Amino acid sequence: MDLHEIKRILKDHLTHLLESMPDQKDLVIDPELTKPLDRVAGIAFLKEHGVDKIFKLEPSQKSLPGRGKRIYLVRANMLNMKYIADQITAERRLGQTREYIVIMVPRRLHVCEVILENEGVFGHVTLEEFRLDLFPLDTDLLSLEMHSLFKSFYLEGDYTHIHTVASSLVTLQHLYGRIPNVYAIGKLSKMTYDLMKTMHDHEEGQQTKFSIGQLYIIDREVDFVTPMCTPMTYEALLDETFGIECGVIELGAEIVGKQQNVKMLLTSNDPIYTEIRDCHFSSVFPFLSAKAKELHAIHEKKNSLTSIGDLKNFVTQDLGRLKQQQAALSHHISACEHIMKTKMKQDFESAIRAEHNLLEGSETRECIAYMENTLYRQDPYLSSLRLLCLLSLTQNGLTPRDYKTLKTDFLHSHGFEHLATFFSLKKLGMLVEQEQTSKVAAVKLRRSQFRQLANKLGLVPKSGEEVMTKNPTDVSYVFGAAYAPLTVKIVEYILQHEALQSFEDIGRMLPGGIHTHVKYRAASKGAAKTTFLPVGQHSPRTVLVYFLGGCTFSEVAALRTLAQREKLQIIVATTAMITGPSLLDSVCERK
Amino acid sequence: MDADDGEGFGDFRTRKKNIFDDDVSVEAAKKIITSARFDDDDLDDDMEILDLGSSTTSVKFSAGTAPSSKTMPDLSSLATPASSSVPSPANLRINPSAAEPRHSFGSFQKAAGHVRSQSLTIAPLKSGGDMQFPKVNMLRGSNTGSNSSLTIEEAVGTMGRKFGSMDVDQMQQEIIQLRKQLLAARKERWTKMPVDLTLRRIMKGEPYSLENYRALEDKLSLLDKAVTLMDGNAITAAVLHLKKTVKRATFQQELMLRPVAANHYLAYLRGHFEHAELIDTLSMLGRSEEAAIVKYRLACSTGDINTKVSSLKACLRAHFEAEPSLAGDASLIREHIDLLERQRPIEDSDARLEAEGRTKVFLDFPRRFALVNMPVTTTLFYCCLYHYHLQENSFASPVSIKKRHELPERQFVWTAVSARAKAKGWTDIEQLLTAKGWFGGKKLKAAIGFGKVVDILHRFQAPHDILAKYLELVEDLDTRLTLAKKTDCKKAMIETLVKQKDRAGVEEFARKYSATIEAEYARRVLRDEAIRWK
Repeated sequence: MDLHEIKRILKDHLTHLLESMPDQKDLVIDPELTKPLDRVAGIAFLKEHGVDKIFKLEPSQKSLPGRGKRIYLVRANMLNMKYIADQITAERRLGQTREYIVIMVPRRLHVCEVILENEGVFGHVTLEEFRLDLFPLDTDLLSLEMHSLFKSFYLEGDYTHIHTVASSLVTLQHLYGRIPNVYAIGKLSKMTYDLMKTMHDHEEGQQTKFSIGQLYIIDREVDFVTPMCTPMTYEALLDETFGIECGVIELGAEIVGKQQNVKMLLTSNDPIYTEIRDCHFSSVFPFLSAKAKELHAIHEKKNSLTSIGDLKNFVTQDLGRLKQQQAALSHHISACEHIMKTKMKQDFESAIRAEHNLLEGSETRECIAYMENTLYRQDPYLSSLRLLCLLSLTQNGLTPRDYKTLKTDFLHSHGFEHLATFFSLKKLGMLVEQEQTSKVAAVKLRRSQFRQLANKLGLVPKSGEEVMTKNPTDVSYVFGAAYAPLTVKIVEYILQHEALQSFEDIGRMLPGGIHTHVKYRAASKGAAKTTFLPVGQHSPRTVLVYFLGGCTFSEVAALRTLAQREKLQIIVATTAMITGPSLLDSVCERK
Repeated sequence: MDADDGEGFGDFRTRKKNIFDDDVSVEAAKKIITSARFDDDDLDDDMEILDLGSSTTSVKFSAGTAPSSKTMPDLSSLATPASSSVPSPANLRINPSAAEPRHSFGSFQKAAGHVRSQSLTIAPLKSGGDMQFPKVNMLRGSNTGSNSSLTIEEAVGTMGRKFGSMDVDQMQQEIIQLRKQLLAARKERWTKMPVDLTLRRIMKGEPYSLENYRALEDKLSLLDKAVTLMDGNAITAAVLHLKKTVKRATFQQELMLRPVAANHYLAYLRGHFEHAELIDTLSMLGRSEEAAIVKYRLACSTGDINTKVSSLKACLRAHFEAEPSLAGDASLIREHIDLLERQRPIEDSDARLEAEGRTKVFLDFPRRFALVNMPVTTTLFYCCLYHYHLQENSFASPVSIKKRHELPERQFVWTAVSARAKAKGWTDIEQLLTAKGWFGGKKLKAAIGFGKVVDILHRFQAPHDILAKYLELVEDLDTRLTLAKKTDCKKAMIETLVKQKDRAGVEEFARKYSATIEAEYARRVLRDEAIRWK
């Protein structure tokens, strides 16, 4: 399966939009879209299609210079519309007349049109939409990179983005055939599935050939625990330490020891990166040093070159590759060093111990004392908050006393403004107070929820159990053998119990349950009944896992491991790539 | 019944509309009245251009990108000539047939917004229009049929390639269906469309209009069905339509019955920064805690400190104190207000002192930030650094801060030790950690444990003798040894090793640090026969 087909279609669509305004024009782009657009099209592509200057849409800019034709390419939200309207109004007041096209991503929204109408600029703009939904970040990874979905759906109960997710699935199935077997896990997944089905029903002609056999739609609400855990794989750590945006990482000048910042594209095109991205951090450094020696050896070869032919070979073949690899290698080593340094500074060992205890459900008092210490000494607030949430999630809420103390301590150390943060986390169910009704029974009952799941799915490997971190087969290696991501374990469980078709036992323990829609079964005798046919022999073993509300690189790594072990092809799609801190930050009160 | 009415008026209105549309010339209107069928066909031809495109759309790709990918090369190569023959790209929309009387219909649509003219089906329409542009000059006014047949050929060609022998029946069926759609589209301006149809159009990004839903039942049915469908855009559109067209009491009443619709309305208010209405609506919906938090957040974002304090007080009175379940948060907000009122005078006087440049402590430790709006812990640290010795009745007194905010002893010690270590106030630390014993005896005691004290002192580069004093008090010997190594306190290392009766350890020390004074001490210890080694 080639995901680049998606990119081609997006480019075609974009070409069409750009060419709909003939001649040279300026492009004003939503800062949030620059990185996705870089991955999909690139500047050269824009220039090819008549884009002259490119501006970022900024509220501070009241009017813009440039040509008489302008295209705005923005996420469809009210604020962007207001900025655009302000610019147009200001420019018209200056007596400048322009042609404006406003392209909304991923679709036109009623509220946006209302704003443009209210601001009195509706008559001066042409509205278009650019259905930028899923685009490839790598050969097995697709993302909407729509970070606002988490806050908007889970916190505010706004359904607007469900349409985008559902229609991205419809698009995908137009390309790769209707997926016969769907497992929708969680409430939002069910809703997405239903909307997708409605969209399908509106179409004529049913596709029956498929190249993706199974679809798992997973609601982030089902598993908040995983993002709250400290990642251990290289890629996940890079994301958390430096931030990977649309597959691009930016290392500061001081880290790489250069004059300026270094940008690196992290995909499977980089051979060194492919080998280390999903490794446990402890084995990354040895690998890099071995690689360095290897490169050194190749480099040494030049001294033993005797004939001109050899020299020519060396220069034309080895040298270029060598240089490239050397640069990549040195950047990875610098990044590693920086990660180590950061971890040491943060009292990493104690933090990890507390986290593991929480996952095991042991030494709770000690963990709470540790959390208080991190608050007293004003550690970065997101790391404290992460532990607090983990405590609440694993214990199904804090006791009223602990809740009050920890909340007060937190507000004392990081500002009373975070009162609103606590409210949001309560609404999300990530950090809650246990209800005070009939204490013992309630605590017992609720406490069992995460524990039950942990027992049933084997989320927390028994202490002493050896998980080979160097050649991992158990997905828990991504968290240092302390915890296997729940989301991945659910997928694993369904894969292994496929024949059951019903997963009520697990579904009961998950908010929103599991909804199964199976239309194709390879081994069953009733196969004749189904109209679905695989395109190739691998199709039934090709799996799409779609995360709603975000996915971490730890989960991607775990799914890659699972795919390798079960001989599957797994493609991961997500509404956005996230880390625990980025998830929390999106609902935190800013100062 | 509604539907019947709509159907009943349908024909009549169709005819009437045409007259109205073609108001450019009376003759044209007459012609149309006399040959209504012809008009239909004429328009249907246009629709075929449009819908053959869109039929490929629906088969392949919903966003219209698939056809665009096919027509693309033509598009880009034709883009420039098109522009030279057309005054403005807005006219791209006016395709050849629209240049005739229907022009007025086009501009009429425009008044209603591009909603109408922009849609899923419009992409292929436009590309079709583009393709014809070079010919427009030659063919203008001539039979549009020739144009459309050309497009059909092309369109069929692409479909043939894709699907092989296409069923003619199916195509005809499609034509019938499209004809129906067209009729519906022409009526839509004047009669209300069934709610389901409108919702489907919204969902597909096709033009729609809500203004014909005037009965409350229709508006509610639109809203409820949008919620069932789960298209957020439609929900917001429906709820705003309701809001705009019914009285406030009715709107609120219906909103209370519909939590999802309420959420969408609230999201709209948030995005539109209509805070007052947001708070009102939340309160009306019984979500008083959220209302209180919104108000609090608003108060917090106030820049001026005096205004901020007064808005916080107002918020406290109006929301937090009014709701018994928010008593906990109310007391936190009281703390917040008190903190700001404490910071204000300290900041004023310290800023002045620092500017005068005569106070030593501000010269030694220039202030890195203004105190106002800092958290309690930071304020405590600040006061411990600059105002440690003040009496409790002073605003800046650390003890007074501790009392007001009921800070735990551990937190107080932690912060105070850090601040005094930074100020190199070693005696202050000793005093702080001195507890009075039963009979006036004195004893050092640390709520956070001496290990942490050593940690902090080391972080602020305390001298070795000070470190050694507190290292001695670390009870666990292993921890003490680790800390001694970490802080490089050699004497403490030897003493700890001796306590552990670890002769090998001391020997190793003597070897490792043979050139230091402490090595001599280590050798002396090793010679001491009074010590019983392990």
